[in-house]
Amino acid sequence: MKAKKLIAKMQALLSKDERDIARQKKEIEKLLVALEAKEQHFRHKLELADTDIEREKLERKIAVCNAQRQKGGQALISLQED
Amino acid sequence: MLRNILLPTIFGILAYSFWVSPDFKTVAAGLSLFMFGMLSLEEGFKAFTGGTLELLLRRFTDRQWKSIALGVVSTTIMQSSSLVSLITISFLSAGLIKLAAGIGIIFGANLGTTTGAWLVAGFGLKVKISAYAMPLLTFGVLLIFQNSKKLKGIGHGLAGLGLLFLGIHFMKEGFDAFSETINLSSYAVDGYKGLFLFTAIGAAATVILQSSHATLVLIITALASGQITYENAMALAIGANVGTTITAIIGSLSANIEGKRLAVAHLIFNVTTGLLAIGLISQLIASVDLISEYVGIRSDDYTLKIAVFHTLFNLLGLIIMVPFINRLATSLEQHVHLPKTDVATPRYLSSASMEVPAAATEAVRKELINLYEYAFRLIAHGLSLHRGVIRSEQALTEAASATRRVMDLDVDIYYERYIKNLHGSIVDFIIRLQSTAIDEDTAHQLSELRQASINILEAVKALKHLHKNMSRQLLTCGPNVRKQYDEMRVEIASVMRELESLRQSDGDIILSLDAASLELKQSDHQLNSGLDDLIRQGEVTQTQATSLMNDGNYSRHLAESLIAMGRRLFGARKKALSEAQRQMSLADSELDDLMNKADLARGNALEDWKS
Repeated sequence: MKAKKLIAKMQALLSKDERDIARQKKEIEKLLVALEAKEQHFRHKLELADTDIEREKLERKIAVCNAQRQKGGQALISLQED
Repeated sequence: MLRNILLPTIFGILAYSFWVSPDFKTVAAGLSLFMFGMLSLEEGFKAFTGGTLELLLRRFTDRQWKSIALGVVSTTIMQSSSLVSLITISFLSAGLIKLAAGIGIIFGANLGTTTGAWLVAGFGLKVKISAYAMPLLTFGVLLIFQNSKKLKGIGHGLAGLGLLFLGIHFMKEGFDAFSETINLSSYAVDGYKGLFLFTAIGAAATVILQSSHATLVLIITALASGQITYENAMALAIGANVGTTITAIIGSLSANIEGKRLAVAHLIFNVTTGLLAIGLISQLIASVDLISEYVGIRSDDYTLKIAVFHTLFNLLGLIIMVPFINRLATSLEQHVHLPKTDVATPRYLSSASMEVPAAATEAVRKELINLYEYAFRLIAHGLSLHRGVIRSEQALTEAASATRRVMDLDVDIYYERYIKNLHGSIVDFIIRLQSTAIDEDTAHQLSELRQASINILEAVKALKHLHKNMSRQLLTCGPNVRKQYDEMRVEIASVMRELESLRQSDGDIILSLDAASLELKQSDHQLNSGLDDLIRQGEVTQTQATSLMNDGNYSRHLAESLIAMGRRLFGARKKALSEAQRQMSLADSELDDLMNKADLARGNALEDWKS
């Protein structure tokens, strides 16, 4: 069993596709962290916004961040399942 | 005409010489093998220019001493100052390194190339070098037949080394046999007359052979078999140094202005070093004797003493010229320039930058940014807005409504002279590059960059249409139509401002552009509903309404093209990151959903407020 696991790990290490997927997962995780911080930043700005136009713009930006985070989460899950 | 008769003449002379002297045939075959070996070695190193070499060039050119050291080390390893010069010109043409750094590398390469003389004099002539050549050739050729690019590169390198060794062996054999029939040393010329004469012969031989390295090996092997005198060999070595600049000048003919400046710097350095060596010949000979004695070289080992001499006068030139590198770079930038033209010509694209794929891709990227700068200026002025306003934090709505004068601009002429010409050059360069052996990633990047260029072109074309009506109506129409045009101007300027701020930041541009796309959809939606209201209330004529609808479309198309260009040009270059961003980026339908949800939420809030 251990040998099988080791072989699988070695295969993953040597396979270009596996390495690409691992890299992609890492990048998505990094982007998700960055997007969360960005969303927090917009939410903070929203609390301080003076005008309706500014508030609406910030709300749209938050909605975009949120939707992107959802997509990123789904992409991460599907990569892990693969 | 001259070119047509030159090659047959050379062929004729060589054929006659081979018929007269079989020993000359051996020397010539040795030289040919040596040069073919150098070509193979260069081919081998080119297989590794996809990353490591570029990384080194970028990392080690931030300080002058690093540039010089890089030139010395890389030429020592590659044994080819031509390849180092080629890559340097490539990177310089692509705008990846500064002229001063390029000059530093070339100066360093001149010193690095002296290691070749040490290798030949210290190793090549002291051991039976042909014994090493055979296994190197066998392993090399076997590896060349492999599929892997890296293995092929190693194969070319090994076969190249094998051919170099075999070439040196044949040259040595040829000169040894030659000395039994003819004694060339009887043609030796003493004193300054001989010095100048043999310097000229060395320079001419290097121009013909296109390689100072090959000339030097020829000099050392001829010296080893007593065919030339030590003094004349020194003069020939000086000449080889001067002659090698011709190779750089020929190479720079296909380079852009930066490459040409570098070739001039190379010429100045080598001619100065050569003149110094001629002027200080007595002192140099004394120094060579002193150093040779100190390091234990026999007084009659002239081949090693030539290596000492070659290193010494190149080092002397380097020490004298290094303090002037920055001044030389500034002076070359001031005095060597292209004639001014009315049309935009590519700044970074040249045949020289095409030699290294990584440099070529960067050259395309930089040229596209150049094209975008022209387009930015044209679009800003076409909207009658100053570029400074778009790049500042000033409220765009106020800036648009404050416009009292339509900027005088012939969009068609500007488009023909600057945008179309540059776009054509970029596409032509990409097509030529795609026809060379490039990897899949580079091919993908290039096709994205080509599309970005088309996006810029489309944005400018949309402006051409928009500008026609806008320039006519902006100040003459009623306040309602003016408001509509101002909203269009703000819509485009907002996208341009967003792109400007994103390209200055290190953030994830692709994802941030999703928000810009949503903003564009929102403002477009407002523009359309505003126009609907105006038509319903009869505030605009039918003709005005049609014009506004058309111009609204052009305005949206312009802004969308700029966003698409931004995604391609300013997006991530790392494959994994770019793929991750693509997966997380929102599709058009998803952005529509977000907008509908926002509208619904706003509607509900309004209902709540009303009730």
